[in-house]
Amino acid sequence: MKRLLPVLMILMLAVGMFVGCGKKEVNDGTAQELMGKTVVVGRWGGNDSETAAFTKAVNDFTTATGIKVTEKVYSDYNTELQAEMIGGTAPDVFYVDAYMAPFYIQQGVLMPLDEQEFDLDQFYEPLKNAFLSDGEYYAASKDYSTLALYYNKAYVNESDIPITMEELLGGDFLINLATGLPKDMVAMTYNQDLARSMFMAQAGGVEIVKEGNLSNLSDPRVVENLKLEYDAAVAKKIVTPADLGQGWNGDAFGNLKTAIMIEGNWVLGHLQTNFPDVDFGVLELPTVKGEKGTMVFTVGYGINMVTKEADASKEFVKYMTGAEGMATWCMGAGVLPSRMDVTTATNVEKEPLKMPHIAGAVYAIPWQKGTTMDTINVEFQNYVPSVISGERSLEAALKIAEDEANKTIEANN
Amino acid sequence: MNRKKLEALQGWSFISPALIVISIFVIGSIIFTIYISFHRVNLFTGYYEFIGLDNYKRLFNDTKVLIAFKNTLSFVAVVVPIQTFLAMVMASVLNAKIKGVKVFRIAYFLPTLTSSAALTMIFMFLFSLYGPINQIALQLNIINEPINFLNDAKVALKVIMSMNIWSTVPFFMVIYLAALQEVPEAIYEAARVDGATNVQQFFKITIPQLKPITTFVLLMGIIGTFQMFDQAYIFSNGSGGPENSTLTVALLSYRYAFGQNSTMGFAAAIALVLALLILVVSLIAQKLNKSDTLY
Repeated sequence: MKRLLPVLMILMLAVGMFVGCGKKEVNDGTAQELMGKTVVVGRWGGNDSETAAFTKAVNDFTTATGIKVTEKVYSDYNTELQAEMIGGTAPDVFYVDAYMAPFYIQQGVLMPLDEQEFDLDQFYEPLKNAFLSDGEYYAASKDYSTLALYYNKAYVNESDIPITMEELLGGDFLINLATGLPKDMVAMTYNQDLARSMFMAQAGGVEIVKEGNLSNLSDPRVVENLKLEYDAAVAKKIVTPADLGQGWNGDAFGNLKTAIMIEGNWVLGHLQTNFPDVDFGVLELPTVKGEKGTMVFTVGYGINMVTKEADASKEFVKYMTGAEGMATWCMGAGVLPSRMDVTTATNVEKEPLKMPHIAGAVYAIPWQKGTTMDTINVEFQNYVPSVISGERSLEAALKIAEDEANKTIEANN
Repeated sequence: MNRKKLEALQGWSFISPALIVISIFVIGSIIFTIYISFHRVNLFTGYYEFIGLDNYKRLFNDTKVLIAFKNTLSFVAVVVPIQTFLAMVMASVLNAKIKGVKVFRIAYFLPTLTSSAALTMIFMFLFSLYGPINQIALQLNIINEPINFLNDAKVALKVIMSMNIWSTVPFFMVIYLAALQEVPEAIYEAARVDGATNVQQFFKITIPQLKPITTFVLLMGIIGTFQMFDQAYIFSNGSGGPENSTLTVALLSYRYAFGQNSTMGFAAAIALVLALLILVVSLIAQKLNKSDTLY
């Protein structure tokens, strides 16, 4: 006991010191003058051009408003950010992936944004609504990506590519294409991921998530929809990049391991930088059940609910998602602007490689569905390989994936 | 204040930085983990509800937990004996006076220096459907069509096992190599005079002499393999697939704690049970490999 006492005293002293430090940082926040304030912005790292574009936009913002910006770059973004939110050290403004938005909104960590104040009318509808919950918007989209079809011009004629998914995956086109390719090149790659196939799975108006945020993968219409892709996979008409020993579609396509892929526009910079010799074209995705469809992935700026710099944070988000900031960011980073007025102003529509992606922004569905998509997708990825190996029918695999996911979801509630 | 007290105070103040760090980041975390394992928590909103043993009860109803423990146990059961034995054999071979032994030592030690994330990527390339291993096996007519190592639930964990053995053996080999320097040459000489073969010498001298070190190697191996996370995470892209075959206890705990699940209490319960299991298995291994039977 005698020895314990000094330890405890020292501990209390140390704790007192930490608490003391924390208190000093508190600002009263009543000052109307925002000049000289500092906003901490959390984001994940990008490539060199993204970093340069971000820095330029931030500098412009600081020059215009006098508000300083400190960056906080994370590698394992959602894990680290969640830990910081819990610890109360999260940044004032941070990237919010549309996919994670329902979760963060549910946890009450995002500040609602005023529709007028943030000029949200100028945004593409799917991008604006990706952060909508109960009539409130919780983040403003900073850019977006959609999926499009990439083909290698040296091996594929644009005019040969079927315009419907049914013909592309179900017909003989890929088989015929494969016969003319080099030995170690396949016709097309795909991903075993609902993030890539959700628009196909939901064709004809069916949903992959049902009441109570439960998985609905075994719905006969979903099975029917996914059958198109997975029949092609079982027949080896399409393979995954991992099958080819490649990290992802972009590398498989650049290294001439595949002639066709479905990818997001983030692959453009990758191909142009690392594989400048590959001559490729980009097309809108073939239709499913006669309708156009694709996935859209978007990330927005959200404001921390407990920020001490709410006004300065709002200024920052307004600038970065405003016409000027977004133009700087999108032109520099080579990404697509979420605002229709910036799309027009930057003439990005005139670029043939980006045009198919921009066309998709109007009819795409966002990769987002409640707070249980993680569990549903993990189980999907878990059981779909058994379809390829021939162990199960797609129907059986999706049934197990649904049951397993729903067990977890119900136990979590 | 007398001299003794002053000295004691001095002592405490010297170790206080370490004490503070340990009490916050180690002891504090452990206590907090135990605390939240009895609660339903939402750390975002600061919601705590005492639910007694419900999290622990869920362990027995959750099919995922059962699978994860099965996977982890089979992983340990395969990896630990093989890595220990291989490390011992390689160490005694390298201890012999062969030419260029230093080059071999360095070459063998390299895998340990590589980050396991990078290793996993390399192994995934090697074992891919159209990758080198399948190509070589096809060329040698060992198999008729490529094996889908990465996507087949029956072999996926075995790929990770082989990768883990390959990357951890060198580390333990170095420990054995150091220990071998302490084994008196005279014992080997005497054995040779009595006509013992090299194999006999290995089993009758090297293994018994290294027993205390083996206990250490076993413990480190058991702890390391039970906590295996990174390789399974990268291999399956965090899903533990295909068909939960690479789902380890640590990966499952992570999945329940982060992402969209936010069931931190249940995750804490899983982690605690894993810690208990490691403790029990370590004690058993230590008992089975008692070093005092040596002399």
